[in-house]
Amino acid sequence: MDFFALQGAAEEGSLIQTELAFVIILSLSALVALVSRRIRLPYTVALVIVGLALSFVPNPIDIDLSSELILVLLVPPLIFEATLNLRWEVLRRNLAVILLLAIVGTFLGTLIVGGIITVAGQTLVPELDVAPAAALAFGALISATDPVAVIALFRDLGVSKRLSVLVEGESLFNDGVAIVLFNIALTVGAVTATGEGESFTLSQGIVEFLRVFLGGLAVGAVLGYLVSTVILKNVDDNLIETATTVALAFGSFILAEQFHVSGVLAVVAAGIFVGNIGMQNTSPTTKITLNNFWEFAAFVVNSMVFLLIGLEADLSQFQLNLSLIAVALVAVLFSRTVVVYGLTWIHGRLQAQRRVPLKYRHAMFWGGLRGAISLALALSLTGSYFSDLIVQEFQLMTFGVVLFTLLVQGTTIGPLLERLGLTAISKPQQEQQRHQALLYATRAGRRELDRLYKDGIISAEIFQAMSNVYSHNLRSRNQELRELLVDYPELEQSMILQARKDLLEAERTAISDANQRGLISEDIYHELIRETDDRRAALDLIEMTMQGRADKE
Amino acid sequence: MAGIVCATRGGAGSRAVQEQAIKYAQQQECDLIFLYIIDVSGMDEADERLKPAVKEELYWLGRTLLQIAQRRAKNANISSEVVIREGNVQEEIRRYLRESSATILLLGAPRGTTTATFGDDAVEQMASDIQDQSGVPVEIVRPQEV
Repeated sequence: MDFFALQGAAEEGSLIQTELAFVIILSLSALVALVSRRIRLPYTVALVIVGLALSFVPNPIDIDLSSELILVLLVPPLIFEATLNLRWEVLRRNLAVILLLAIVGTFLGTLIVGGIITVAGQTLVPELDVAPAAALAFGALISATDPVAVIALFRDLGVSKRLSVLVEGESLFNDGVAIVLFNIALTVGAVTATGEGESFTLSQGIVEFLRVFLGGLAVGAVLGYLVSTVILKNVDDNLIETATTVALAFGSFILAEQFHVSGVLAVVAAGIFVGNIGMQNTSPTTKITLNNFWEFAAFVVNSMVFLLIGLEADLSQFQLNLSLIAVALVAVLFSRTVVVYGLTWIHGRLQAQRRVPLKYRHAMFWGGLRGAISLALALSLTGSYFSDLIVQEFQLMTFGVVLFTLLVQGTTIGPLLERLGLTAISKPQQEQQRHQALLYATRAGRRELDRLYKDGIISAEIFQAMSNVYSHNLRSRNQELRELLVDYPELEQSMILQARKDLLEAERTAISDANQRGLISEDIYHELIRETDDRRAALDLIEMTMQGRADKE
Repeated sequence: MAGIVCATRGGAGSRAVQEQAIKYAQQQECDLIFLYIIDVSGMDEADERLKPAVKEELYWLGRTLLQIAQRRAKNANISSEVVIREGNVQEEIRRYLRESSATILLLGAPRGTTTATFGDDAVEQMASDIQDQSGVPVEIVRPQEV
């Protein structure tokens, strides 16, 4: 028999197997998304639950959730998509507290968790007796927060932009910090265990940290700037532009890793540039294409990550090692308490005007879920760093913490936000949106009715009769909206701000159009665009200040 | 010019306070002024670059809100004036009251607040301060709880 033909057939079989797994994941994701929206459960949490249920029955999803798969293939698009929607003005206003939480907080969290694990191993849980470097490695990997489940819920519930940016910003930056700290802890651990290699001083550790942190941001910033100002500005083809952003998301990660700097932070910087400069430089069509594409990409990747988390978790092992998971959970929750409440308190003393409201701190504490990055780092551990037993214990503890945060915190954060009064979409606002949507729909129906009559598809009598019904509906819908505004006059203000934003968007498009048609010079174009963008950012600021005032009230 | 001054910012109490002001203007047959203050003090120093844009947008928002108020007065056959000032809310209101020799100031209160038994309501505190320092009586109008 022909060896190559056999090998080809085997590869084909494996490819079909992978394809089948992918088809099942996509189908399940669509189904889960549909159901979770109805029962108001975070989609990602629902996926984990389905994954857990599937792990008890034979299933054809044969994809290993490896560290490489997560870090190289799944994380870059997730981070890129998240940063695309981060508005620089809002991020900049909160950068101090975000960096404090992401850098100092992750460092502090690593120490606290590492300390608790070390002490617990020496006293309460002998099977967890690990070297301090190993405990710190676990502390670092478990300190990376994952906002996917929380942010999706924030969007649904209409939580303030500031709170979303605080949670999302902290998470995006602390992913990179956690990875750097994790690698430093591993290096220290390897040096301590084998006595080989150069030992580390604290100052060397800090220099190394800064090199990897800033180097990653620099790589992403350069590539993001180039793509935003060269490709997205000059190429007018939505497909080519979208393909370039895909190359940027993966390319910035790979290039940064080649330079031994943070790939995750490179993607963060690249995404921020594209989201804030590139998106403004491109046509409305490309903007829509880019948003749709990345939203879909994040949906697919998230579906894979969270379904596979459920599938890979071994519940029987959890039962046998409850004490290990309990120690990890206590350490994680305690460190989160110190980091969130402690650091935001310090920040409040330094920047009193930008103090994080107490309600936000509660949401940030309970919203500190753990996810893909923690798992990727745990799965990257091998017996070459620590003993096989410790590696297994750390992976088990990581899965335990991730599942707890997703299933317990992820399902209770919504009610907590409602209890804290942080859900910006109040009942009156929901009513307003419903009335407005009905008005839009009724008017669209009315236009279609006119078209049907003009095209001679319906008779004059039918048109007249239906037209009367539509007119009556429109009148009553208008009346309902007016009555709502009488009861809740504050809705007027938010409607005005929203309308103003839409108008500015239209003005911006008109300026871009004038530039593309050669009616205005580049200088005038940039000046007007900057002015319009400042006005748009000002509206965000006004909205945020008003919302912050309401949250404090 | 003596008259009723209605300070408004488009909050929950805006409609109630405007309606009350219109009612007083009808009863007393005096001038009605709707006042909006652009206060950017909440936007701290780091937003210096954006401050001009913030001011312009707040001005835009203020003009729109005042036009809505003016239209409400017109529907009740009351002619009114609109005034936009810039600065600290409390100081600017006081300054305007002195300049316009107003007879009464009406302020709207946020939803959910009640007449503060112990005087701890922020709006009530502001009203009390303005009244003490300007000598013009201040009335707080609270929105109906729905």
